[in-house]
Amino acid sequence: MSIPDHISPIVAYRVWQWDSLGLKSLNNEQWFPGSALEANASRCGKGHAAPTDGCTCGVYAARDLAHLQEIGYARYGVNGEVYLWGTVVEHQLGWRAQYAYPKSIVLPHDAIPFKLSEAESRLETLIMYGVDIFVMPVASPPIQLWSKQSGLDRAGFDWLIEKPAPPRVLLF
Amino acid sequence: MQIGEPLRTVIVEPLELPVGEPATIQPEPESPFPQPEPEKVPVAP
Repeated sequence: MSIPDHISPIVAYRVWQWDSLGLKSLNNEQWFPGSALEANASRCGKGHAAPTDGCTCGVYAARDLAHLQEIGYARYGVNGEVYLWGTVVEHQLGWRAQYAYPKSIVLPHDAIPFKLSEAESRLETLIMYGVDIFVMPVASPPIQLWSKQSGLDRAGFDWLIEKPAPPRVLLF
Repeated sequence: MQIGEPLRTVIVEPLELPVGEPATIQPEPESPFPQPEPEKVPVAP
C-alpha cells in the first residue's frame, strides 16, 4: 500500500493549442473533456510507467506563469492552470506528471474570433472541459468569460460584444 | 519545456474530474450565450 504525499492535486501552469476540437499539447496530444491526460510512456520506448527519475517522459507543466513567459511558451497558444496527480516528479522549475487535467484557461484577446457566432462555437469547445475560462485583454487584468459554476459571466459577455475589431490589412 | 533538474518524486491522490458541467446542462436557453435582440424594421403600411 502506497501512502500519498499529497492529498489534493498539484496546480501548475502550461500552454495548449486551441483548435476546433479543443485543447492539444504543443506536441499535438489531444486533451479530451472529462478525461485525464495520462502520460504516454510508450513514446520513449523504455517500457516503464511515466514519469520516472531517469527519463524525460510525463505531462510537463511549469511551476508558475512567470516561468512560462520567461521561456517564451506563453506566446504559443492559450495558457492556464493544470491539475497534476498520480506519480509526479518535481523539478526546479516545474513538474512531470502521470495524469493531468485543465483547471482554468486564459485566452489571449486575439485568440477569440471577432464574429460573435464564431466566438460562441469556438468557446463551446472549451466549455466542455468544465473549467473557468478567462480572456486577457491588452494591458488590463484577465476578465472571466465563463464560470464552471454559473456559466457565461456578464463582464465576459460585455467584452465579447465590445471587443476591438482586428486590424485591417491594407493592400496597395 | 525547460523545467530544470529533478528534485523528488511524489505520489498525489487522484483528482475527481468535472463531470457534466452544470452550466451547460441547463435546458434553457438553447445557447449558453444570450442572443442579441433582432432589429425592429419599420414596415410600411
